[in-house]
Amino acid sequence: MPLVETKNNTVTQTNQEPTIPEKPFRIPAVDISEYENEYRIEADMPGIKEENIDIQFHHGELQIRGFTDVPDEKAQKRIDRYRQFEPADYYRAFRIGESVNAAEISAQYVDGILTVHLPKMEMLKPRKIEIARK
Amino acid sequence: MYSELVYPYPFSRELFRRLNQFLSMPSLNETEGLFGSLSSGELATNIWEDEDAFYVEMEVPGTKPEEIDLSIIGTELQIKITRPHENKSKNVHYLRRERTFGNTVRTITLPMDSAPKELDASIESGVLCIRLRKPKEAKVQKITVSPK
Repeated sequence: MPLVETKNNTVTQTNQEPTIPEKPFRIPAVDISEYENEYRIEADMPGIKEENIDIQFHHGELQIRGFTDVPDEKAQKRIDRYRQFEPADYYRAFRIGESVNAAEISAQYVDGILTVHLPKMEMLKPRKIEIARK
Repeated sequence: MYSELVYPYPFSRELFRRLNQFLSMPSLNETEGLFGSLSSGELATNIWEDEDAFYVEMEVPGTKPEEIDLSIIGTELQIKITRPHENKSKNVHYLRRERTFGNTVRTITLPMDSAPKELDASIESGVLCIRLRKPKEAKVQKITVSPK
């Protein structure tokens, strides 16, 4: 079964299996909300570049990950005084029900927040039924 | 609708938090280590220095520059952040809420004897970075030993 991958707001097909990170990772805090036409996942993933975000949807499982850059020469010379966050990659996975239209999943990354839009299947969207006149 | 996968580690977040609390240094026990974010809702901060300056990095996802108020009081740096709650629309139903909003004030005592004169701050991808140039006396002074 092909894998649907969303990257840079576009959806492409790939046959690559998603892998689980081997290194320690950070679990981003998320808000999951339901709107009339879609579900939305908002994840706090500050400090990464848009091109280093990878979102994959495979067999009903959504994986989001963000990769941090390798520390540059300047960062290696620094002396830490207080440390509350590490430059580790972000990873989190969600199991998504069948009510989501996988082909239409899209994402944005603005000000350190990743927003994934999961549109509902057409049949689940609310619709108004007009009474036909005879 | 959604169920979260917690593998590859077959432990819950809560267990990780407790384990980290138990194992970590008292000064850093607010963090969940590498496996999670801060539990108290506090904004994660790193402070580091190099030869020329002190740097304060704070994770402020979704915060606009106009929502940040920085002030120097003596040798203390005060960071005030006003983050309004998003999405107040009635058409939204939350299935999970973990992200924090609201106002935050954080005061950091700078390891300097006098107030820093030069300061610049920028925000990129939700990380606030403040650079405080060291006064001359705080910089590393090289002393050469001369033979008699």
